[in-house]
Amino acid sequence: MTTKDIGPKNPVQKTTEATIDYVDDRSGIKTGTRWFLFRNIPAGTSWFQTLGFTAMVVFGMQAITGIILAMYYVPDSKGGAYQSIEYITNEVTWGWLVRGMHKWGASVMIIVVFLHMARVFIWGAYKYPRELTWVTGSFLLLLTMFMGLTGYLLVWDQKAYWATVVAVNIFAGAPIVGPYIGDILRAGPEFGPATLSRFYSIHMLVIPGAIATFIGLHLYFIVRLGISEPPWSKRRLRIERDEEDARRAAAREKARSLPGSVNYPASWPVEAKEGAR
Amino acid sequence: MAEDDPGKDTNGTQGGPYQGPRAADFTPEPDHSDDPGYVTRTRFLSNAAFAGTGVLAAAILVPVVGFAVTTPLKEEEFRWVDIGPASDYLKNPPPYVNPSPSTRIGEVASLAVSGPSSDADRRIYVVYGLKDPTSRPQPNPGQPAAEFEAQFAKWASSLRADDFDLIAIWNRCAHLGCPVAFSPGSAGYVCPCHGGAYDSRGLVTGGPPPRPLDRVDIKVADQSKKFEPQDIEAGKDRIPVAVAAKSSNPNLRVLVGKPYSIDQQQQSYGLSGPGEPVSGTLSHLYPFQ
Repeated sequence: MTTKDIGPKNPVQKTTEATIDYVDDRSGIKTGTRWFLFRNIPAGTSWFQTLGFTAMVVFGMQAITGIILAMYYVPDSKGGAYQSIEYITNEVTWGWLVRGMHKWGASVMIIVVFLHMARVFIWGAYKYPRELTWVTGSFLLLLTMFMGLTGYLLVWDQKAYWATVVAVNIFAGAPIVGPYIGDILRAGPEFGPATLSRFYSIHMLVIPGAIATFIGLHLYFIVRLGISEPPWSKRRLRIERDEEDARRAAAREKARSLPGSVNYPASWPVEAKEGAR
Repeated sequence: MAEDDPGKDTNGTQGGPYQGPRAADFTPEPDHSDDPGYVTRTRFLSNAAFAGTGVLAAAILVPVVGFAVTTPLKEEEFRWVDIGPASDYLKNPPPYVNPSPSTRIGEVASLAVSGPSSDADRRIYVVYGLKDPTSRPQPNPGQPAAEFEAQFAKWASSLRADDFDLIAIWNRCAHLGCPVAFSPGSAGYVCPCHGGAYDSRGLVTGGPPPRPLDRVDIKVADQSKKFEPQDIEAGKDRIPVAVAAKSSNPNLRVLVGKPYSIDQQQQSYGLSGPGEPVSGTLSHLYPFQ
């Protein structure tokens, strides 16, 4: 019989462990990681529950490709914006790939976010106590769609231009405040140079910060509240059956105490309450 | 013998009644920890810190939000833009000579709207034509051509200068703001985005637009004469189109100014955004226009 614990440790392993211990002593990173990753999950958790993580990964991809694209993109409404897009696509090494990842990733993110929302909705996972997880998720959905709107304009070709004109005018069609929202979005009454700069700033600075914040909140709620069981979970079905039984028992109890009911004391068999009379 | 007693505790009590202070003798220090209304030092300092943080946040956020939001909400300023000599727009054959296009279309590339992008394709169509294009006689089915021509000639000779006017139609679709194009075949305007259709005067003939195409104020003025700004404001420099059409004065120029919206009866309203009705129940959704 041999035991691996005997004898001097591999110095690499020793140094690694010492480093981790050093960091953990001061930051509690081990506890934090355990709290974040090694959680109990309900039986029946399946691939469906991975959609949220997928959306987060796609957001990460969008962030990284977006940062790289920003190194070449020029938000110049006098034609420079479209030229820089052409330059990225045709001249920069693998520019077509990075731009393609960002462009298709945008659609993928919308699709995945909607699938994730549909999963949560169909599973009923938004119910108590996970309402705030749902609310932060709703904000993430809005921010994702707004990301799509602002990113679409940056290509600054005719399609991008007029599609965004239409989209912003749909915003502006909202009652009472709509015209103001439209003016604020397009930085004035008409689409122009200021609109492109504004959308660029919103697309690459304002919304990514907001999305990162809300992803943090969303994750905190998920870790704190746990994920919900699938609707066909045996435990959940049993709980629901027990609740149904309790509801029926309560209804019976209530019926018994109602005047005129067969179980109401006044209609009990006469011999049972002769003494009382 | 008491000193010799080893079991004696000199520090202990010796029996007898307790002489020390009693709990009942103390008046307790006032304790406000249970009183929610009492401001302790800690509470005061905490509140002061929160208030200070709020002031700091406001000092940062108020300028930032004002910077980002208020400038786009500023009222636009419009000026009169000279788009060419009146003869370019008024001397052309009146519509009854050639029955197929009922209007004469002039285009200008830019508009007095503040700074549209060069990609915006914002244009105005300057139309010198019949005030009421529907008054033109149409051939009845089966009517002999000669008879209709005689009828048409009679109508054409009855036209007076007052039957024509000069309007400037903005090509921004009243539905969602796409650029409409003049379609000679239908003698009207068609929007490429969602199929809004307008007649030659910009009135809706089909599709989703909630109101006709917006117009731009247009006038004919003699540029050799100088007017005070308040006279221009009052419209004293305007020359009636019927007069200008007959005039041979080379100093007459056509100018376009401020855009405005109209309803289907061609009543004018303040400029509204695309998609906003100017009359009817739904116009109340936009009370600040």
